[in-house]
Amino acid sequence: MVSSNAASIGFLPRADGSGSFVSGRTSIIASVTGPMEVRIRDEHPQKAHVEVIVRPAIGVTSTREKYLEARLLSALKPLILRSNHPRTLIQIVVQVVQTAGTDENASTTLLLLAPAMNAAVLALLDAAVPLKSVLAATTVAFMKGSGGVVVEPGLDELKNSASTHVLAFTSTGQLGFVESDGEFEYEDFERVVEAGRGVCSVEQKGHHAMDTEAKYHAVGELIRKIMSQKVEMDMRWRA
Amino acid sequence: MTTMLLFPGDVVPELPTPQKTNTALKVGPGLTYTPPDKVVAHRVGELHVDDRKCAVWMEGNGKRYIPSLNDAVIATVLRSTSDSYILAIPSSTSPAPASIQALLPHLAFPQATKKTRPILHPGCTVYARVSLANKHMDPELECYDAESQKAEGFGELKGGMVFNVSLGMARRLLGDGKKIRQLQLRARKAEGTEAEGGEISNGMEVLEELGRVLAFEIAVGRNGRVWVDSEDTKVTLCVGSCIQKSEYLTGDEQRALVREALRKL
Repeated sequence: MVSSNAASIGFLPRADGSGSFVSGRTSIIASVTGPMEVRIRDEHPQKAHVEVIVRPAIGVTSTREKYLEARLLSALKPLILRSNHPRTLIQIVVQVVQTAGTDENASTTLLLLAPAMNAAVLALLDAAVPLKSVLAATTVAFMKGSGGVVVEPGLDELKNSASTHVLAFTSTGQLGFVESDGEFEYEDFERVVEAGRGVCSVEQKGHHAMDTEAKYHAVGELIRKIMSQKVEMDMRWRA
Repeated sequence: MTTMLLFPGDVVPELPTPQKTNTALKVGPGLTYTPPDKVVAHRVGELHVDDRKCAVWMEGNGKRYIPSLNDAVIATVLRSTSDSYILAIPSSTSPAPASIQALLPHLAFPQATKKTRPILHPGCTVYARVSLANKHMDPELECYDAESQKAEGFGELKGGMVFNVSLGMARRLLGDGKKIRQLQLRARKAEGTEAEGGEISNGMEVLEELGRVLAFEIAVGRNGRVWVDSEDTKVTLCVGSCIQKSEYLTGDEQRALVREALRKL
C-alpha cells in the first residue's frame, strides 16, 4: 500500500522559504532562513554554514531529534551550493506536527526521516537557495517471510518488516542518501532501491502519468507539481 | 513563446550562439556556468533566452535579497562611524537588524566634503545604489548616479511609508517586466503569431493606473521595499496596499483593483 502524500509551500510569511509534507499519518513542516548573518564561531571563509534544527511534536528535544538533525544535515549539506554564499548561515528548521506512532523505537523515528527531508527540500526550493539537485525521499520496508517490498509502509507493515530503509534520490536518479534498520541481504537491498527509485523520480513524465489518480502522488512528481504551480503563480502577472 | 521550467541540476538544453564574433554569452541569475559549454540551473524558475543580447537567465521569485552591483535599494541607517554610515539592507521578510549590513561612506553623496556631508541619524531610510557587491566582502552603497554624479533621486527618504513586496514584484515595478514583454513580443513576431495569445502585461499596470489619477512619490528598492509618500496619508496607504495586493494579479485585474480602490478613496 502506498499512503497518500500531500505537500505545500510558502505558507510561512516571515520565513524565506517554507514547505510541508504529509505522508500517511506523518506530518512535518520545515522553514528555511538565509543566507543570513552567521555566528562568529560557525563562520566559514569559503562556504555557507548549514544548520538543521528538529523540533518535536510534543516535549523537549531529545536524542531522537539530534539523530534526525544529524541525518538530515548529512543529506542536505552536499545538496546546497555552499560556496555561493560564503560567511553566511542557512538555517533549516523542521517542526514535527504529527507522528504515526507514539512509541519511540528506531522504526517510527525512521518514518519521520523521509517526510522531514521532503519538507526541507521543498522549503529550500521555495527559498531559492542555490542547490545542485533536487532530493526526493521515501521509506521502503522489506517484509518478513514473504519477502515483499512495501513503499511508504504504515505502522502495522513496519512491525512485520524485516528491515526498513529510508532512501533519497537526486533528480538524475542517483541514490543520494540511505538509512537502514534491520537485517537484510544485499540482493534484497537492490530490490528496495529499485522500488524507491520508482516513486522518487523527479523527471518530467507524460501527462497521462500526472493525473491518473488525484489522491496519490509519487514523491518526485509531487515536488515537481508543487514547484511548477509556484512558478506559474509568480509569473501570473504576464497573462 | 514556450517558456521552460527548470529545476536545480537541470542543464540548459539550447544556448544562444553569439551573432558577432566578439560577443560573449551572458549567464544571468539562477544559472551556473561550467566550462566549456554547460549551463546548469541551481534554483527553480522559468528559463529566459534573449538571442539578440546573447543572454540566458532564470526568472523566479524570492524573499531574501542578495546585493548585486548597481541595484537601487532602500536601506536603514544603523549607526555612523568616523568615515561611513553602517546601513542594514532589509529583505521583504527580514526585519532591519537581522539583515545584511552595508557601508555607505560619508563622502558617497553628490558634492559631499568632510564639512558639507548630509547628516543621517540611526533609523533613517535611505535610497542608495549598490557600488560594491562581492560574495566575499560586505556590500558598499553610494547615493549618487554613476554616470552623472548627481543625486538622481538617491539620498535620504523623508516622511512617507515603506511597504514590503516580493523581490519579483520589486523588479517588475522597476520595469523588468517590460523587458520580458518585449522578448515575448519579438518571439511571437518571429513565429508569426502576433494576433494570437492576447495581450501581454508588463506587471506594473497598477503603478501606471495609480499615477494617472493620484499624485504621489515612489521609490522602489530591489530588496523588496517600496517607499511611498504623498500629501495625504490616505493616498499613501491606498498606493501601498494596491501595490501589495497586485503581486499575483494580471494587468487587467490590476487595473480593476485600482479602479475599485480609487472609488473607495
